[in-house]
Amino acid sequence: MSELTRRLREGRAPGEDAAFRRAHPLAMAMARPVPPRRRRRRALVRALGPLAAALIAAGLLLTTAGADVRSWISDRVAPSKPEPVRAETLPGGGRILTAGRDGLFVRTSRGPRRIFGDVGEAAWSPHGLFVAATRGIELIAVSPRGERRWSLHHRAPIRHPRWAPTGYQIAYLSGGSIYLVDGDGSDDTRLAAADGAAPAWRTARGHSQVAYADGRRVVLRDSIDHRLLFATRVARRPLALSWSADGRLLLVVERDRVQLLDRFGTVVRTARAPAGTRNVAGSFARTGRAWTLVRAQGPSSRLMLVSGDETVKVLQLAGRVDGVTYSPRGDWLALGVGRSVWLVRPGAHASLRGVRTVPAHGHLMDWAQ
Amino acid sequence: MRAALRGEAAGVDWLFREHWPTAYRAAWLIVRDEATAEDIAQEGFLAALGALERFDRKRPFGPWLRTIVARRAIDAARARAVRREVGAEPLSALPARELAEGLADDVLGAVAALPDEQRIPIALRHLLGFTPGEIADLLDLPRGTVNSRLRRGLDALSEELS
Repeated sequence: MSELTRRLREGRAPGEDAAFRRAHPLAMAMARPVPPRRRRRRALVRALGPLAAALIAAGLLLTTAGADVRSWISDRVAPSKPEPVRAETLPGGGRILTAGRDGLFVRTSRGPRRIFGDVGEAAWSPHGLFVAATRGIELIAVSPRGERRWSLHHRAPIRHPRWAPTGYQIAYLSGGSIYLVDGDGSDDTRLAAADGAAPAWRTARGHSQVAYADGRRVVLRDSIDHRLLFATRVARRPLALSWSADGRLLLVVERDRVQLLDRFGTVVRTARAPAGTRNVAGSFARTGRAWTLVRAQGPSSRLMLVSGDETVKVLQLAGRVDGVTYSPRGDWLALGVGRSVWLVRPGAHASLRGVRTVPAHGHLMDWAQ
Repeated sequence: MRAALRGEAAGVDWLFREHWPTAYRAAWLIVRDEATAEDIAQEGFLAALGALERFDRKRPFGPWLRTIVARRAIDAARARAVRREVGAEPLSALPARELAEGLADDVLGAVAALPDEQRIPIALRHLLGFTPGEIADLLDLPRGTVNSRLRRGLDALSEELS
């Protein structure tokens, strides 16, 4: 071995240790060991097998919904062994937006593409025609090709830009207030005092309304005439707000509880986080009324899928989840975990149908067509 | 290796710890971008692990993985060379000298500061252990060109490090 080879093999490239820490769990997930517990289960199956088989057969024969029983069994078994596999393509299609110091990246099934420089946060317009990105005190509208269309700035840092479903307005926070600006960069207007969670848009009979947090209040206002529609006091400062697809329920994620508000601001349901855990993120699905909640427990995170009265913990992740978003068709869920994006495919009855991971060049921001 | 082929966690862990540093370092030397290098090494590794069942057990794992990583890194470097970077800090404008000065290791830094045409053959030859003939195949270059680029790169390195 030459001296140069030895020195190159002993050296350490920038980012090598951090990259090792991120890649190691992914590699270990590829291992398919035979756990000792499985042997015990096998022994148990041997002992109780004939009885269980008889009961299952009786169930399939005697119940009119034998097929449902079978699917229920498979649904419950599937979440217990999620196997993260690195995706060569992008399940769920569309374009995932990630942002960070390395720049603003758009990842499609053909791989990532850097479209802009260092930005803080970013969000797609409804049809994925533009990206609203923040850079310190600046809000920038960028085309998917990376062309800067317009920008504005404030005295305080700008956070959480969110494009209205109509595409006509963008809501964002800056300096303790929520602002609305038209999609072409004009008519930048302060709406009200606000802080904390990202604004959540709702469309009702052609009117756009925006929900936001103001301290321990959740407020809904009309985006055109700025009329107050409701202001509901909650226990703690909301971390995340998300409307159901039909606009009838608002998910309010607080550190120690989750609340569902109806469209008039009335609390219709509350769920407390178990001791030792705290809620960090949540989102309604793009269709239906299923929703997702991420809870942190120490250094790990738990993904919960909630559908009706069923709540299923489907995934335990090593690491912090810093973003949650659904695919454009709503059939996949993306979780930002450090510089990776985990893609989870929810099934019926809050079950899990698949898990993939794709690399990311920054934090997960949004997913569009 | 046999444990990894059986899917045992200890075997996969050993394979990863043994081969990851070289895979990442080589990818970084070729593309000189941390995020891209991480993607390449990670994807290469996972592709190799995913295909272990089809792997010929008589052959060593290291060269196989290194070939996967090298091909991906070369493709990424070529793609980036033709791609128009847009933004405040285009990747193509990353100054090699500045990049190398931030490195604690002087040899790695000196190699990183070399131009593409010398740095990539040197990384392939002296870090990944490819022969000049194999490098010529990977880079789609005549073998003589590879040899002359290696020579010029080594001369530049010895001058830089002397």
